[in-house]
Formats: sequence, C-alpha cells, structure tokens
Amino acid sequence: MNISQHPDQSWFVSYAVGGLTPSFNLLLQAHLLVCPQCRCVLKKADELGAEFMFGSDDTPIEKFTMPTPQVGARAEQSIEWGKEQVTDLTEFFDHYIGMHLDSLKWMKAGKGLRVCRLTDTEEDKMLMLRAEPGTVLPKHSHNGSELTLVLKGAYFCENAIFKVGDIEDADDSTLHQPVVTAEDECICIAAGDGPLKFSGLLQRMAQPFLGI
Amino acid sequence: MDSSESDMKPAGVDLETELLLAISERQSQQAYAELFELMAPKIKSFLMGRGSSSDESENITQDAMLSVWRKADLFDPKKSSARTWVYAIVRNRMIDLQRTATRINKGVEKYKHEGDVDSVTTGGVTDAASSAQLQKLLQQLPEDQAQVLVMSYVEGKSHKEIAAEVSLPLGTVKSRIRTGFQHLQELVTQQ
Repeated sequence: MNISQHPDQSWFVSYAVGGLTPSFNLLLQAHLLVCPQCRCVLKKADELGAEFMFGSDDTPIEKFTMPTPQVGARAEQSIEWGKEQVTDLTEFFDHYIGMHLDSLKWMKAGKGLRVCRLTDTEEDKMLMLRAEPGTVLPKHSHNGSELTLVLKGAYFCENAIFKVGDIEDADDSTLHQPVVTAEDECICIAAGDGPLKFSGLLQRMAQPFLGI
Repeated sequence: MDSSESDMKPAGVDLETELLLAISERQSQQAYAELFELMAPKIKSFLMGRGSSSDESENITQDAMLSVWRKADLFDPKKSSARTWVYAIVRNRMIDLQRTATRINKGVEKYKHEGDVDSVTTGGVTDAASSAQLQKLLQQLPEDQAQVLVMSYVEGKSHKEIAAEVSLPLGTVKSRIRTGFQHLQELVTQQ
C-alpha cells in the first residue's frame, strides 16, 4: 500500500500524549498500520514523551506495591511503531465496528451519497461515508478538526488525490468539496470534534436529521 | 551476597534497557523488581502531574508495568530505548482507558479560557519540563513553540484545548506544535 497523504505531524504529538478523542485515536491507529513514515513520526514523539516522563534526575520518594508478574503470561500485541505487518484496513474496521460495512445502517444523504453515524456526541464524532463513482460531495468547512481516512476507492480534493490508507487533515480554515473518482465507489471514515459547516441551504437544513 | 541485575550492566547500554532485556531473555523477576523501582514512581508522578488522581495514576502504572512484563519479549533494543518503549505502553494504556474514564481536570470546563494566571503562559514554560537536559533544549526553542509542546506533553492537552486556552486558530496551534517538535528533534540530533 503506497501512502501519499498524511495527517500533520502535530497529530502524532497529541496521540503520543494521549490527548485525543477515541475517534481521532482510532483513525490514526488505522493509518499507522499502513504508513511506515508516520510510525517513525510517532516513535520520535514517543521518544520526546519518554524524556518528559523519565528524564528527571529526581526520583519521586513515594513507593507503592509492585504487582506480582506471572511466569508464562506473555505477549499480547506490540506497540504501533514496533509492528512490521501491514493489515487490511477493511478488516480493521470490520473488527472495530463488529460487523461488515455492508451490514451497517446507511442513510441517504444526497445524490450518490450515504452516511452512517457511529458515535453519538458532537465532541467525539465518527461517521462512515459511502459514495458512488463520480459523486460530488457538498462544499463544506468545519467547526474544529476533521480527519478522513479512505477505506475503499479514492477521491479528489483541492488538487490532491486521496487513496486507500491516506488521511485528509482538515480544520476550521479548510473549505473543500471532495469529488469521488469515476472508477469505483469510495468508502471513508471521518472523525471530528465539531459539526460540519455547509455552504448550501439544503445541506444545512438536512444536517440535524443526518447527524453530521 | 547476591549481585543485583543492575550490577551486571554492560557498557553502552542504559540500565533500564539492560533490565528489560533480562526480563525478556530470562524472565528475571529480580530485574522486573529493579525496573519497577526505577520507573513506576516516575510514571505515577507524571500521570498525577496531568491531573489524574493518586489512585488512578497508581492503577494505570501497575497495569502498564504488568504489560511490560507480558510484552517484554517484543522489546527490540535496536528499535528503541526501554524508556521510549515503556512510555508507549503507558500511553496506550491511557488511550484504552480513555474510552470509559474521565480525567478529573476535564468536563464542563473543558474548553474554558484559563485567564492570565498560568505558569505556562507567563514565562514558566520550561520549568514545567522535568529533565535538566530537556529544560535546556526547550529554552533554545522560541517561546511560542516551547509553550505548546509543554501544554501537550506535560498537561496532555488536545489541539482544540490549546487553541481555546491561547486564543489562536487551530491551524496556528498545529503549526507551532509541528515546528517545535521538528526543531527539538534537530537539537537532540546535534547533541
């Protein structure tokens, strides 16, 4: 898998400090599975975190009970940048969601576009989008940040193409209008921490019903 | 008298890495106890500095250290130091817990502007970093870059929280974190 679009490096600093919502964490975890370049960035962010955590010359006086390790009880999974294997992203999300994408309850959200909301809160929003080939999505901006990960197909946006495994990084300064490529349907998963801001009146009216 | 695992440390390898290798290769409980004594109080202290309660910090630390034991054979000293590897385990434990737990310094006032009385925004930026070496490096960064890195690492704040606190657009906050992060890596490499 050839990854060409990455989130800003500042995301991996926030990931490394545990400062993100579960939805942002999940999208970045999926991207890290397929992107060696971002695994390197995360490792550097972890190195800096280790310096903040362990670099002090003063050892805190407080001691507490050490849990007894069990001989023989061994490995679960490795940490992100320790992984070698590239995993299929569709399988990753099938496992996370607990069902295959085809079984989700999709809602029609305009010509060629269906959506499925996976979380309930505006501050930690996760949304699946499924668009037919050639679909032009409504022009919109954001209240806050949004990361979009491509699971299937591809789309164009602002002179860039986003393919499987790529992440588009948008915030309140971004006004964009994704266009799905003509070859295949496109399935994406988006995480955000605020509602979308649509340019069109119809989309703004439909927004509360769709929960986007 | 029995010698400790740390007495057998070869030159060129830091103590934590040597102890972790002893756990990985020999399942040495003695090495585990020494590693626990070295690292656990610092992990707990770091978490409490983030606003977690003493009990919560202790639970996360104990869970993370048990994971260190269970995953020790996955540790590769060619890929990272023991400190970085353990940090990543603690971080992943925090991410796992985040889905259900609420940090005590969050909630209704999550995005409240803190006003002027804040050590981070009044020149005390580098004091918040624990290591003398790290403080020295942070002092070489422009103040606005050091500020957002300390707010991220020491206070565990998100882009949105930092943007609200320093009254700047999200894009500016991300740019400062990225530039400061890259700048700090260059300084570390030059050392």
